[in-house]
Amino acid sequence: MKANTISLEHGAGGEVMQALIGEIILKNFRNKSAGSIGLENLDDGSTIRLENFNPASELVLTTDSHVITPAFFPDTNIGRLAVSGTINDLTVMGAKPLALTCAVIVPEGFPILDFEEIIKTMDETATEVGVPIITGDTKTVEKTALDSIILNTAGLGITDSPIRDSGLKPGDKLLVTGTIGDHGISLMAHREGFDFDTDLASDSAPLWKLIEPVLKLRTPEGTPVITAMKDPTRGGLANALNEMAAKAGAGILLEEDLIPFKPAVTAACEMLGLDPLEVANEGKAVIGVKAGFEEEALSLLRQHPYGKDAALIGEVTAENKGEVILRNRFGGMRYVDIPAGDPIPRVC
Amino acid sequence: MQNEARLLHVTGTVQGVGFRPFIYQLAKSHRLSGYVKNLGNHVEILIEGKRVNLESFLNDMPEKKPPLARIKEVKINTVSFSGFLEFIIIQSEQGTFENSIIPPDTAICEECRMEIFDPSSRYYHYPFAVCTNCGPRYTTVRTLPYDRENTTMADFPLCGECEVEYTDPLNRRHHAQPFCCPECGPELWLSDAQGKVLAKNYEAIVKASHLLAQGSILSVKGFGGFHIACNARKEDPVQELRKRLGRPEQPFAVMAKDTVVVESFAEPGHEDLKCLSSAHRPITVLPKSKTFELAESVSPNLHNIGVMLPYTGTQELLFDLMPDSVYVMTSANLPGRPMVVENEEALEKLKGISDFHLLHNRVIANRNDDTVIRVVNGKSAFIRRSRGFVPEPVELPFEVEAVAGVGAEMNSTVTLAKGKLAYISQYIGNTSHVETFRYHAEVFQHLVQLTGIEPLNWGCDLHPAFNTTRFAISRGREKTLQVQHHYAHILALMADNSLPEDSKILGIALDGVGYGKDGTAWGGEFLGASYFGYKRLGHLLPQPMPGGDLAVKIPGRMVLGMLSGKLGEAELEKLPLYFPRGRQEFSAVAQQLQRKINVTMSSSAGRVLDAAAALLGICQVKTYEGEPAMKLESAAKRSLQKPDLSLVFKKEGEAGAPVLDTTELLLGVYEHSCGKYSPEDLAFAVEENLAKGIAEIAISLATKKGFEKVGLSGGVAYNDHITSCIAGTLKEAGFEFLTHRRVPCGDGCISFGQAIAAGLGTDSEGTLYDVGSR
Ligand SMILES: [Fe+3]
Ligand SMILES: [Mg+2]
Ligand SMILES: [Zn+2]
Ligand SMILES: [Zn+2]
Repeated sequence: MKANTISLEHGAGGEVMQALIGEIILKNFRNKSAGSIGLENLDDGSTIRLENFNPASELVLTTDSHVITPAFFPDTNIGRLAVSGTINDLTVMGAKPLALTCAVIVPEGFPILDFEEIIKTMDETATEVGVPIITGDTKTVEKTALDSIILNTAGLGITDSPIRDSGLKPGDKLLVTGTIGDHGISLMAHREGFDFDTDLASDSAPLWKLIEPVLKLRTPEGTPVITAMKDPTRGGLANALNEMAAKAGAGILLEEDLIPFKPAVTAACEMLGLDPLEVANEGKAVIGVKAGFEEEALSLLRQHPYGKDAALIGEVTAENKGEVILRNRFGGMRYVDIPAGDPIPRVC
Repeated sequence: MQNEARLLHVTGTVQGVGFRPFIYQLAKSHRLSGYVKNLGNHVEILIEGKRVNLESFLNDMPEKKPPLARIKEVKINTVSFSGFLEFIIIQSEQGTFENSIIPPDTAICEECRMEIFDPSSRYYHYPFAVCTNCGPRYTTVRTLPYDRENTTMADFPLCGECEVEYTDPLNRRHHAQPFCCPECGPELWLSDAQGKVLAKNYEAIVKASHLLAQGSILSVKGFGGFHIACNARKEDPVQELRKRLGRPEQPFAVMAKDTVVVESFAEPGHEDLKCLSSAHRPITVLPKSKTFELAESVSPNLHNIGVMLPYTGTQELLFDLMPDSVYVMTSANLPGRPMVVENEEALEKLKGISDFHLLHNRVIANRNDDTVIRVVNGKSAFIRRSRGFVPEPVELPFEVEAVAGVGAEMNSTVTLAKGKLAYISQYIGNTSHVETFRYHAEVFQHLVQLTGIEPLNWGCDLHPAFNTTRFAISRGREKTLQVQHHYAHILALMADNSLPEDSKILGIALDGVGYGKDGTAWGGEFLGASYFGYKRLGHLLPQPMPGGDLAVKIPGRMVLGMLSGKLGEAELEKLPLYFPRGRQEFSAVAQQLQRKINVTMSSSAGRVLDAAAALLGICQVKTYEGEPAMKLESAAKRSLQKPDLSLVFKKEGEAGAPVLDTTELLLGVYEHSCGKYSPEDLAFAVEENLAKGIAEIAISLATKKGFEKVGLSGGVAYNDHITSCIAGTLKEAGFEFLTHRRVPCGDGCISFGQAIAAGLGTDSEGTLYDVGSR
């Protein structure tokens, strides 16, 4: 079924968006690569190889636009989301963030005080990991064209060993840096007026300082311990892991009991019939590490406040290529699917 | 008189059922010479002799054929006389095995049963005694042709004495592939949970019988898998088994020695007794008797119980030791996973469940769950079509190219069809579970191998997220037809009733949910259908399902969804509904409905019954498939008043399509619930009104659109009260009413319907619908 017009689903991160990217964007851009990782790899960013530069090092470039209603949510706002998102995209590519850009599209009538608070939050977030915001752009549009603010941030980073989201190998262990689903559930509760009587907040956070020590870990042979990494944003862990499994041509076996959830997230999902694996995260990473190094990686992660709930959640398998399987405590297994736009009942 | 010769080609179930020795004997008795030869897909017979003898042979053949043989067609050609001196059986040769029919598994026959209880017989107390008329078949077949070396009996070379019986054309065991004796055949033993052998052969059965009497839980290996058995007369073992399996409520099937024992706890009717005692030995769902004297926890809060009679030698020997005992005999599987079939697998997977294992060393080539039958509206209906019936093909009223149907998600089966035959696989189960989905692929592969049908076209469900849908698309690619779930139900119903290719009917499909053409969940549908397309002419009112599938598990959510537009929050809060997270969840659901967060719309009939069960306090949590609706039916059976309430309201939907307003139905129940009626009375009223409302809409649609036939499919059709009421109303109004006969009305029929769609190149909604309607 091919649509004639763009629908919300085209930006929802699921199979429909994948098709739009594959069939329209990738087909029409002819020059898509400046280094070892290009646009067609559909990773979190791409690399740029510079002439007369240390040949082992590459620059990493990434960009992300943020629209979110409402722009302010418990404890923070869209500014933190925009800066964290771009820093995290660099981080999961294994790149140290060097600088950010900030482009703003704002409708007439938007309160100046709110605008300033967003900008201040962006500054605070970037300062947390010591990344300067060095250029930007501001556009205003008519009220009728937009009902809230849009932020775009691009980020430049550098790495001498880029981490790809396709690098999982059978036997690798999978880690997450903390509890899953916090951002999506807290935002929905706030936006839709659910009273889950909890102090659930978005997990939006810049992860560079958390991940940096793990990136430095090397095997005795000198190769990075991290084999693949991704930030499970839209479509949640389900989407991120399916992409990683498909790109690696390997299977993923998750242990349901090991995946960390805040009780409030579990409760909300159980009451609304949602799958927490499909809920968005904004301050989490899923990391594949070589077997035998998971404990070391976990203890490094747990030393940082953003990583105190880091956990081993499963492993990469040679069988079930491209599939993500969740095993419950009774040994029952189900497939973790790529989230569709809206879940459709299946119980007959 | 001159000698003449005839060459016969006989198709049907004529292999491995003693057909060739029968022909041999028949030919001899008519003083004919010639040969009989197995050609894989049929049997070739040459008979030579006097014309009168040839003719009496031809008359006797269909009449005197062995019990398991089924003759589909006999082609007779007159050929020139070649002068055979005697009648011989020619051994199978490699040939074409397409359309070859492997017989289904069959209960031990009376003659074999007598022998295992006869101290002078060499089969005395030997549980694996079989002959051409009985025993396991399909479950032993690894590959074709159906010869001993291609079955799991290849592991047991015949001893000298058996060789004599096996090769003697006059012996009952002539070429009975699973045939063996205590000398050369499989062994039985009893082990403890760790696999330590405690006793062998008959001693093992004696010991097992004692253990069962003492309350132990045993796994017992049979034809197509393992049962878990315990004493059904005592509460303790049954409740212990429930705890160990994590199955708090799901009814267990039981086995009893004979119909006399069955009648001590159930009330089988005439049709029930026929099913129960047939050689297929299905689980037959029977009404409990007033003096039901088994443990209540065998089939809690239900008015009926699944019962079967022994069908293996082991079972016969067990019951002979304790003739009055009744055992739970439930298939040995962990929730959602396929039944255990291997010895080591049993030791490992049933750890903590079975105290002991009664094992044997014959491998099970094909897993095959027990068939389940229930008599609905006076006719037997398949709830599950499996052991005893599979792989016997279902004949189609027309020819199709090689096609496959892969089923839906739950209760799935696969179907391969070619020409006029459709092979529906054994029960597979819920393919959302990884292991069951793998089993689905295995069954599919094996069925391709056994039937030789390499599908050219594929049918699958319209639901994009079903594993079976992906399975079909990844194999069939552009040759895959996604068939709307309820249309597949109706196609299956039409072919099940052998309606010719140009037929059209008004199909009523009532079930849980299926993916609809409009992306919502359907499940209470009136489809004007031909084999080439359909139109959705009417349906039940789409109702919100707050939380999607969660509303199936917690039916109180459906009640809130259906009534939230009619009752205020204060009234809703007073409803006797259960939510696992209490008041907080109640508010969450209310908010969820208002903000439409994860709320899908469904016209499902099953969900309406679920909601009624919750509202009446009959069932608040679904712990097994169909539980709320089954318990509602049982409650309705207990109704004393059987009130004649009128709770049905019709509405007009889009484009004048009639819509049954199920909100009004549920509201009616709510309003009467504080009056003079018991929950049982109102359960009755809900079923009665839903059925009547459906029948009324069907009558008006059929009248207006000129349908003479109206048919019913879908899981709700297992409800005897609803089906009888719809059938009665429609027949009274002069319509021909169709239900399923040879395939299940639940989702076990979906693969069959999909295969038909793929075979006829059926269009989806609309365009080709009018073909055949003129
Ligand atoms: Fe169905
Ligand atoms: Mg990204
Ligand atoms: Zn027999
Ligand atoms: Zn023998």
